[in-house]
Amino acid sequence: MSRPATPASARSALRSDKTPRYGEYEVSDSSIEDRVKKIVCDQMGTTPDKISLETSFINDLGADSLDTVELVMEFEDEFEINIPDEDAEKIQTVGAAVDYIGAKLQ
Amino acid sequence: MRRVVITGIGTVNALGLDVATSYPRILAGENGVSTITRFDTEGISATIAAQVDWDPEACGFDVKDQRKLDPFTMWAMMASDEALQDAGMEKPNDLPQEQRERIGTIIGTGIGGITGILEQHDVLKERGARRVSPHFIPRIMPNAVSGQVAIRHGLMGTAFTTSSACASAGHAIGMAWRAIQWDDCDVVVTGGAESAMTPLSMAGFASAKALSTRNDAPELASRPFDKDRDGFVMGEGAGILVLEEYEHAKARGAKIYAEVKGYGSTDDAFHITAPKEDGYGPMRAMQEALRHAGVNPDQVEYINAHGTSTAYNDSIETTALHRVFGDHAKKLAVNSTKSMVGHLLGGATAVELVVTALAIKNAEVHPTRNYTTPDPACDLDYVPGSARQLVIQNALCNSLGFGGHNVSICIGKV
Repeated sequence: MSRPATPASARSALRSDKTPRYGEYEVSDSSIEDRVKKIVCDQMGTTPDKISLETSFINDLGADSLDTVELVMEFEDEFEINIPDEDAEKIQTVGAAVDYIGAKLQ
Repeated sequence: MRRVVITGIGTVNALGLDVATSYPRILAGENGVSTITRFDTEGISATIAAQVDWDPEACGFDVKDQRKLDPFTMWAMMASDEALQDAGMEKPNDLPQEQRERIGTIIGTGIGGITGILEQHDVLKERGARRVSPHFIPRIMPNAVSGQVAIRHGLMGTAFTTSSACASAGHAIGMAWRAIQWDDCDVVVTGGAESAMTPLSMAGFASAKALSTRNDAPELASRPFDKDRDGFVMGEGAGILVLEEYEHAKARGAKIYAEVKGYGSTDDAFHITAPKEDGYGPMRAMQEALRHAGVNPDQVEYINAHGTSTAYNDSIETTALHRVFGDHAKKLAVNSTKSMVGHLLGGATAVELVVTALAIKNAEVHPTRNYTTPDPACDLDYVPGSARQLVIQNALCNSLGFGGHNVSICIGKV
């Protein structure tokens, strides 16, 4: 799966000293991808080595409809964005979340 | 009428996370009450409770599960695993669907998911409505406990939750008995669970002057029927029983603890918290349980009392026992499991029926811990000191709840 690289401008804007809200998995580089993965790990009870950009929340991590709603809420909170319901439905994988958030923050 | 027997038992309580651990401690009259460590009790008059000592991860609940499940539901799931395994039904999920459609799930709770309510109320106040978890409602609704246990084991028969405060499990077990008698089910996973040890609920019970404030001596605080009792001690946990139609149990060679013979349920229709002094409501509940069982009062040897350790409950329950049993009352062994594990509210009668079933099977009753000073208003044999050998043909297990609800269950030898 190919995906557009996160624009450098968005990255630098996001690379803050914000303390991670989830203490379990420390991330050294707070890129969108790392932050998304961290949320997915904390919410779905998995570890970073077990997920990739292709990982599907429902098919690979066993998420149900309520779990995906909760994940989207966490993305909204972490990146301070609003994700409308019609967009949220399309965010089914880690990669889709990274792409969507990257575009949203441009 | 189809007969109903108990073929499996499970519990989570302050003295252990299963029957094998907690029952010997109950029999020995051990103390399950200690100073509350789970939260700051500043300002609450009662700072002691019978707390379940557990690690959710070690019990199989990962962080994801813990966001979706209140403790009362997790404990009922643990106790249901134990009870089904004990009944020789380790994997009900593997049974053919037509069999699973004949297995029900009826579990009571008095308060429901108050841990989740408090947690998400904080989220609402601090982070706003859009941050309230989508798991909030399915976590905190009282019937989550029955739904989750049914899902866990694939039980497709009737399933619902009873809620009648401290009588919740009594009603659940009564309805389970009926569901089997009436041929709706062959097996019902039943009982009760409670996790109401939160600052808010403790403060509420304390304001209602229901709790013991013997904070400096937790091990002496739960003292049912004793003259120096000063309120109940909050407990938590779950009790689950597998009730099964007698022929069904025999056909698969299941071990049988006891037969559930009768169930009586009444209301005082008097006051929302205070029991009526004449004991008429609990008397009628016990009489109805005996009538359905076809058991005469003088054929009963043992009462597992509601015995909360409040001034009113214990004297009024004693009055009711006198009214039901007359001269035979003095010959009864009457004890209160709450003297060890505290008051599990909606889970109480379930743990106590587990204990009663074991008393019948093992011909031994546990003591009432801390019973040292007789009260003229409580003048029966409360099994002081230590456990006692007692052959039991029939027993009653009582529950009296806020709302004026009275339930009595008659169980005995098959």
